[in-house]
Amino acid sequence: MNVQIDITGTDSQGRVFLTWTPVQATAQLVGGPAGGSVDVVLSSAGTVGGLVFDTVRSDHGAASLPLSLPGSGAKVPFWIAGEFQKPSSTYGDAVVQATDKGNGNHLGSKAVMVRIRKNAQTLPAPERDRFLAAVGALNAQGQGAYRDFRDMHTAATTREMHGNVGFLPWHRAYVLDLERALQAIDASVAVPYWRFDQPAPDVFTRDFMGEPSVSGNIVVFRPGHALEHWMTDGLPGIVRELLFGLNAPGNVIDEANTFKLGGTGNNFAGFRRMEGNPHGSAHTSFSFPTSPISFVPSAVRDPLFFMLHANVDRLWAKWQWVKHRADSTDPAAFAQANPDRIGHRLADTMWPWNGVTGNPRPPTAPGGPFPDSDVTPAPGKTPKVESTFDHLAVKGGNPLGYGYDDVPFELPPTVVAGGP
Amino acid sequence: MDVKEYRRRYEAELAAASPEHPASFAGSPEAATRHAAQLGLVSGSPPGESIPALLATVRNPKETVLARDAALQALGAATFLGEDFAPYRVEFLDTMRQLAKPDTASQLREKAVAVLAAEKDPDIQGMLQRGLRDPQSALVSAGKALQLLTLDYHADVAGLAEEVFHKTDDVATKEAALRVLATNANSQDLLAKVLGDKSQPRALRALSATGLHSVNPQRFAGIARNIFMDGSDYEDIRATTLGALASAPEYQALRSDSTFLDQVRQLGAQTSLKNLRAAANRLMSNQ
Repeated sequence: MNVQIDITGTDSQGRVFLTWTPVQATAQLVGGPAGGSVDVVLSSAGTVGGLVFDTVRSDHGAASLPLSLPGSGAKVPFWIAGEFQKPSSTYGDAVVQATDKGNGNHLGSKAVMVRIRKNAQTLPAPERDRFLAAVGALNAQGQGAYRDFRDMHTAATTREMHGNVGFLPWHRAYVLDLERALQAIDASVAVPYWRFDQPAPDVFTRDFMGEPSVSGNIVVFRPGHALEHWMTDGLPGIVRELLFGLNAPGNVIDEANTFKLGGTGNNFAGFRRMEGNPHGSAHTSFSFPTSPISFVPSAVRDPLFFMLHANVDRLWAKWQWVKHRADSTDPAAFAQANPDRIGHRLADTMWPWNGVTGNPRPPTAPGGPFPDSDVTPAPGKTPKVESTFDHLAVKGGNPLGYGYDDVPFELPPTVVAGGP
Repeated sequence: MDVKEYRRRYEAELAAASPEHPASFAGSPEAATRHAAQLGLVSGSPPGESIPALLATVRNPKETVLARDAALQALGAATFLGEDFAPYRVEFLDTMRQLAKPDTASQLREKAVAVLAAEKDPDIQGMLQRGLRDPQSALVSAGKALQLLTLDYHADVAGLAEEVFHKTDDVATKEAALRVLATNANSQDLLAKVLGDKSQPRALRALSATGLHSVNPQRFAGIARNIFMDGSDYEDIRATTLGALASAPEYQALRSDSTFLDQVRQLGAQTSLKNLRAAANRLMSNQ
């Protein structure tokens, strides 16, 4: 007799990647007593990643859950999520275990991963190296799909994503697009964020994103490093000159002051000014414009761009959580486009994933439609601005399939446990 | 961690956070930069409101170089405001042209030249190229000029870069020149020579590896194989060439080279150098 556990979002290789968002699952008895039932306990039995369970979709799951499983083999539903602040390091270090409540016998288990975006400064070396290997493979010394990401963010395309209200939604989709491309190479990878308002000396090293060179030319990597042969725009290497000390933060306002931009009403119209500071200031915490990351048309030459923008996105996600602004229908959660421009209204599909080209959109649309994920159907192949709002699906529906180590899943005050 | 408790603690943290205070100009350059960044992009102000003040500071010769440089850096941040910056763009570039002169303080001049080069200003590109030919007229160093010319990846400066490479003994300048040459098919002999020369600085050999792979992958694979199999070459350059092979598209000849693959497999198992082992493992996993 054993227990089979099935979890929504299982990929084609039978793997499950969870975030903090509860997903539906079922447990069924195989080979159980006909006409009877067995009381089991589901528990989190992994070495690193933690799991929580509940019978309804809630934000207060527990580390164990008793279930009565019929001998008929009928499936019994439950909800499972990653335990907040206990993300995985590698696939399989989070485990659902089923135990016979009566005699303690092990009846089955399923290894999964709680895959979460983490602070790059404290990222363990094995996770760091897997991320770097995937980024290096995506670049493939200038021959790989990274070129599409580079082509999406140029002077010619800047109105699609800068200086207007669509800045945060567009970049959320952009980072997620890249992350899914990395996960197609190594499914265990999540984009780490560079927390630019805190010192990050372990990020700017030969083992991670490169040590600033004495000559001011390209950063120095340890020999054999996955990014040692980085190439974009026909140029090898990454030029990046820091204008802050290695043991100092970037030249930005901090998180608390970023949140104050929303004013006493916690409005997006105010919050979005973070595009200037800390976002623009983070970019120009490096020598402007000789460090490509400091200049809009060249910023994506440097892969640090995506770690910078993961932090920008994390700030938005955290503001949305703490100020209850994840609902796109809430007038305070977004703002009118100013000037009114396509791609910056809630119902607009976003370039380039919509494939639309020609004035007023850019002349080309690199990269094709938004990539699918086995984990979730969101945001779809042609995401709209509004599709990006609720990354953890706190209001229901489908999450975007990622989470941050310091932004929890919490049901908003208007949604009760067991809701959609 | 209970989410409600986490919220309670975080909200308390936010409430206790002090407002950002502009740093004193009397402090370090970093503090000045921070001040200017905040001066330019102060919370409560509409985006772009402070740009005119920043432009005035940059243009004002009575301000200290430090203050003008910090204002320029803040303007750099403002360029990320997209359409909010657009009304000031012409004035910004005119200001840069005023600064890109020999009598401007070098810190400001270099930055102004860099902005114009990044904007692909043809006059500045011409000045930079003239400076490479005639160092007396140069606005910036040769290495910096090459670096700035590469901000426009359509600029064709390979010939100049090769001249600079051969004329200078400065490794940083050679590196800047080699970076330009790295994807120039006509430079493959130079790249092959530097890569195979154990007396060359490591940084130049590594750049040559990347470049030669780009312009002639088969030639690169042959040299890389020989370097890797040569036990007398430096461990780090062996790691570098192996890393290039591992992250590049497949090399058919090496996939059937059992002697090479055996050596890679053996090295991966025995070396104590983490990155050499990782490069070996990456290459083997691509087989």
